[in-house]
Amino acid sequence: MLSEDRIKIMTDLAFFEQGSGSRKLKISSYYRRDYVGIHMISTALWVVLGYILLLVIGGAMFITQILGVLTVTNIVRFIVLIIAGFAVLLTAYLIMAYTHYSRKHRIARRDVKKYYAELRSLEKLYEQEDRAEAAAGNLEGDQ
Amino acid sequence: MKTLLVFRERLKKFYAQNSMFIDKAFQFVLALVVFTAISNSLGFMKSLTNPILLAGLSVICMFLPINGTVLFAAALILIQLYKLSIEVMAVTAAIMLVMFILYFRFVPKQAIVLLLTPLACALKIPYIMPVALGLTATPLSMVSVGCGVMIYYIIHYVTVYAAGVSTADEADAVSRVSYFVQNVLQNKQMILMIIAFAIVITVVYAIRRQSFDHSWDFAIAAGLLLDFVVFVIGNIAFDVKIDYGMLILGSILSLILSLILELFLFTVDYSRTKSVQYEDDEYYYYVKAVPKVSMSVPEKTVKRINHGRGSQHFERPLPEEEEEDIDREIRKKAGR
Repeated sequence: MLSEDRIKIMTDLAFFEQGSGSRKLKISSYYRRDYVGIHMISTALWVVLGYILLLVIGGAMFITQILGVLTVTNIVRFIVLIIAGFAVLLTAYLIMAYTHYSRKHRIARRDVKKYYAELRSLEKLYEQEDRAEAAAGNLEGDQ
Repeated sequence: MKTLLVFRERLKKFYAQNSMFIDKAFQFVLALVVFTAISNSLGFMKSLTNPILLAGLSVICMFLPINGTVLFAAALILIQLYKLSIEVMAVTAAIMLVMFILYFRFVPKQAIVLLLTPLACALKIPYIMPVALGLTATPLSMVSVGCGVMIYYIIHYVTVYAAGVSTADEADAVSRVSYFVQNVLQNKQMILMIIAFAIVITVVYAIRRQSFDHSWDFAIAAGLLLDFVVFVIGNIAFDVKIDYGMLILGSILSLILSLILELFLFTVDYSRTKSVQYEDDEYYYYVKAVPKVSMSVPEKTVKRINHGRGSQHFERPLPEEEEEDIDREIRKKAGR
């Protein structure tokens, strides 16, 4: 028998499963610390690659000026500047990654909790229907 | 205005009924337009300018998320540049990689701006981008627009100076790379556009978030006016050779597009604004509620009136007695 409540819940569940659900289920299967930690490490690696590329582009842009002032003191200054720039960029990105992925994990957990609650409601509805059908069957048997 | 609102409702209804097909068609058209624009600008590899091939790629993009189109477009640009010069391709790939690694990894939904901004620049209406993003997104989108402007200027530079880039006077690869990077990244016009757009996005966003009446209209007007002023000042200060005719025309077209955007996203009736004030234990609240304008689409009823020669008479003719009764009643009412 068609039940309007059951159809509503099943539609919600289908939207979740066929939309962002699988991704959110995967995210929520991690502990928050693990999920955020993995992404902070991957962000750090990407930042290293990005910074190297930035240095290459910057180096290509100012190569003639750099070659013109190449002394030992300036080389040391360049290295210090490069390391300081990297430290600032990495710190900024790690803070951003922490905030971004913590929020993502929180939202995923919230939505998955809602999904499980709806699954439980659906199960209850099925049980109620089964009980009602069984009762109706017993009544017919008695008659 | 009423006609426009009815039209909007009809369009919304039509979209709701056919959203799946419209979305796919939009993705196909966007991909085709972008790929054709890339091929027309950078047609160094002739086999990649074949319209059937581009249409085929666009069909594939129809079934991918929108970021798939962005990746295909990036790949097309890089392949075309490879044919011109491997150094130019390497530098462009490095710039694109930096954009993806340091920004679009966190906001992948904004990657579409990378497609739309160069397209708007090519159509001479780049001013729509900062206004539209200021109205619909956050000031952070200035980074996406900046990246889009950079991509446009790389393509533009390569198109205009293709011969100079490929056979640069400098002998070695390092000097050629340096020459290209300097000319692209130190382009004053590009830097001016990025700065102007960043200012406009911030100002439009700040004004449209205000609660005063017609804030969206003021935001659009202020944004476009500011754009104009920054470009004029930049032109005078840095001598970037801006075509004022195109600037005015582009601004007018952008104004029209912005008003269309406003019609679809923010139509309210300020004459029915309500203000309420209340308090709880911690705060006083001053709430201003502005009702949205909603217009119901009038149902069309077709009434067929058949009269005159040649028309068929479907009505049952009245019997003579009934006709006499009706005549009598009419005469009675007329006082005869």
